[in-house]
Amino acid sequence: MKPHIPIGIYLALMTVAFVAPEYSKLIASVAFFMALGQAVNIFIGLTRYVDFGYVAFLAMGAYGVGVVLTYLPGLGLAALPIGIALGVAMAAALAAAVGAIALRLRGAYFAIATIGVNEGIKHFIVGANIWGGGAGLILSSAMFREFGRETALFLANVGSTILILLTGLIAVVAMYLIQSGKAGYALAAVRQDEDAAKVMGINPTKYKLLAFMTSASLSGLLGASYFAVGNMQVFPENVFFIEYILDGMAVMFLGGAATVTGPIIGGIIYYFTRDLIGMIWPGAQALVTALLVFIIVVLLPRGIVGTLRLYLPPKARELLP
Amino acid sequence: MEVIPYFLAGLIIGSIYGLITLGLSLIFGVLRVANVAHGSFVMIGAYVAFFGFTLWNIPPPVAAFGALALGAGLGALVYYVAVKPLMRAGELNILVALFALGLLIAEAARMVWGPDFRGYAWSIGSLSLGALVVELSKALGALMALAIAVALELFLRRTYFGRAVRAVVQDPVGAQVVGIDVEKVFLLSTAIGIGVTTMGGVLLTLFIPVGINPYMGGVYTLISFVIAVMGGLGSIMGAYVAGLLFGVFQSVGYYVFSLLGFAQPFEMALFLAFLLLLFILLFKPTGLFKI
Repeated sequence: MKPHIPIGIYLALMTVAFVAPEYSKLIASVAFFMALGQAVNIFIGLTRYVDFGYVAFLAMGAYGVGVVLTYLPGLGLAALPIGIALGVAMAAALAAAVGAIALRLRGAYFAIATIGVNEGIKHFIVGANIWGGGAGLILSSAMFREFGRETALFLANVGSTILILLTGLIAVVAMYLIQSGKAGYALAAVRQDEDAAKVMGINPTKYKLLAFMTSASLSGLLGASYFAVGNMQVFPENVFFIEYILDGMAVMFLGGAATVTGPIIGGIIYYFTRDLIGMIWPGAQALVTALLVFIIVVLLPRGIVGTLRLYLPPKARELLP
Repeated sequence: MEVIPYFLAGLIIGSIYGLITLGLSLIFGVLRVANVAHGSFVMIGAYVAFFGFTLWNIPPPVAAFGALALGAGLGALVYYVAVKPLMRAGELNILVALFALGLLIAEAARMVWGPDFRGYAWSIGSLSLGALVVELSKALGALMALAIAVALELFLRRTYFGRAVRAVVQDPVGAQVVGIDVEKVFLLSTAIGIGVTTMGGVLLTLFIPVGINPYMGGVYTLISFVIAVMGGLGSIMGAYVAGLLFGVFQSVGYYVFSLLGFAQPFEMALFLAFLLLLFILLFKPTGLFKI
């Protein structure tokens, strides 16, 4: 059950983005949902815990790049990897801090504990007026200065798309490795019966924290690639926008929670559905998204890939991990 | 003492916060469901107050009862559409469905009523106590919130249905064994919980002169969860008293942060509220006091 198809899709999209830059922004938009769904899947799909403060990880990634570009001038091209590394590290550190406290709590209590994380951090950044405060960080002039105009525009246009696709690709591999290894079995046991798993000698908090930090780091990378590099700005109302967690869960549930291929299919369908709605009924995307999530969760809780896997013969099932 | 007016103002708004939280705590206590769509019903209540006042000149304390009926109807609908079908599918599905429902309501409100901030002014004079001026409309709202909380508590203690609710809170299976219709208790608790929440939304508008808009619910979802956890999830009077405490905390926090020179003291107070939530859940998940 190796994830050849998902990896193949990502590599093909990277090639297209590189060869035909005019499609780059479109690919970036679709890939953003694919990667977000996959990152969300690694935590929510594998543990069945909901984190309502999840968007903060995207924000941490974006702020990592933003802070390095704004406050550490003169690094040149090195600012990009340093900024991304800082963003991912901040997302992972936030996950470690929140997880160490909240992952001891079960189910609904965990969800309640995380409900304020996203808004709380936003209020802190705006309230204490750090990192640009409520006005955010505009990165375009810093990027032109550090990278040169041509390179900066190339990075924002094609570079960010490749980075987003890379995030999705790493997420696919991480999902596959976790699921097919010891951690996957441990998490499956915890999902079904946390107390029984504990009795069998599994440390639930350890494996949940592993999934949580992996997922958070990938979302940090995604936030850095999409907002900071791609849009050349980090704006609190944007990077902390609560609907991204709904998007991520929509993609995951649509494709199939805890499957490797699900978020790719879910991301593609989700993006084009939203796009279509935007053309037919402008301004109603969020309304229809919320309705869609609601309907999927109630009527098709296994998602497309999860449902397909129920009916496919074993050989075909191997191709859709 | 300059802080005393802030303290009193905190108690008054805290009474409303308490009222807004009652329903969340009741629903969690009975169904073990965290209603993450909670704030949307506060928002609906606020629009009831706005339209009731601007279209028909209905004073908010009267509109509150209309909102109770509307909210109870919506609550029953939510129970049949979102909660009941998902009770067996598991916690994740209910939480995600309710979260989506909350956004759905907010988006529907935006499409119907527009994204603008709205407000109205209902004034019945004010009372000055030395340096402190209390608007009577706000004081009346706070007293009404107290009365509703006490009425709900009495209802849960003195009536057959109330005792049935408390039995389900303690042990759903045991309650069923002694002949309580658990499903009816679930339905009525959701209806009452959401009804009281919309009622709270109406009275809240007395405090936010121009703050009525489709997305106003989010912050009240957060505040309500902090308060419900402080008071002990499932406890009615606990939620009300924790609401008072939170109001004082927010109001005095605002004063302290402005003294410390923060540009956005209100935002900082909210940040502390979220930290408080995490730590209470970790160290004292049963709430701060026993009521």
